[in-house]
Amino acid sequence: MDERLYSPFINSIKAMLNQMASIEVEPAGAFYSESDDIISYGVTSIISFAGNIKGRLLLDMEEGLAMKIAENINMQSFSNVRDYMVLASISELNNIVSGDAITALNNSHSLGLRLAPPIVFAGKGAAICIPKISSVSLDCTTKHGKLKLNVAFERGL
Amino acid sequence: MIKRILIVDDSPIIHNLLRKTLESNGYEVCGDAKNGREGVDLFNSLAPDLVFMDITMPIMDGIEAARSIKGQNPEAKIIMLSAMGDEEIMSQAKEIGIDIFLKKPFDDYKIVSAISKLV
Repeated sequence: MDERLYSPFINSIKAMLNQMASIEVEPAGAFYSESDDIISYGVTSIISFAGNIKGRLLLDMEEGLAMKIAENINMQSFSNVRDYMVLASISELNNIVSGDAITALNNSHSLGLRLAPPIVFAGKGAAICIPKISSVSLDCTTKHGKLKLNVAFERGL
Repeated sequence: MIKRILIVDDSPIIHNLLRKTLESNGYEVCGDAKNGREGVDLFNSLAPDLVFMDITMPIMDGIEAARSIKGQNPEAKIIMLSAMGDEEIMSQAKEIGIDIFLKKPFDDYKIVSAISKLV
């Protein structure tokens, strides 16, 4: 996949997670092609975008990280990762990360991409079967748990 | 007189955070809408002093909702608050007559500064 399509997403996740929840994200390596189903760390959010091309961003993270993000955003603690507000926080994080990255892509390449409302679910070990379009993943670490980005586009620029 | 504000956003997180910011700065949240259609209906029934409008929402997006509100109420004050902010969207917002465009995430200062310019 064209690096120009996926590179904005790592910049956005690092910036937005820091701004929204004061959490630092460190990539553990480089982006790699993803061909298998993704086995969830615990909490997953998927957002689709469409315009001149179609694509999606999948954010997957460990439950402890999802809880910490929700706590820092809302300035309150939660007892269960399935709490509505925890899942809504991850959903909104994905919306803001995707919006930021898509804005950069649209301004650079006139793609006319628009976001669909995100979906989110919790289920450690769940196999996420997603349409087999070209995708790349990046594994990341934080102080509070692991995070994976998976970016897919149906074709290049 | 306390200024009354309508929040239109599909995220309960944004509703909670924005409500805290607004109420702690002396504003009243007079209505919460989860999509553009609800936002238009609540605008018509509540006549708020100002609207915070998201863009990406189910049923009716914020651009369409703002166009509908401004079409019937050109004097309506609308602050677009969105994760998106590309040139095409900014151009659409300007054409509709959106008063201020803010990009998420937001902080108290950004919100209060924007409101103080309009009401």
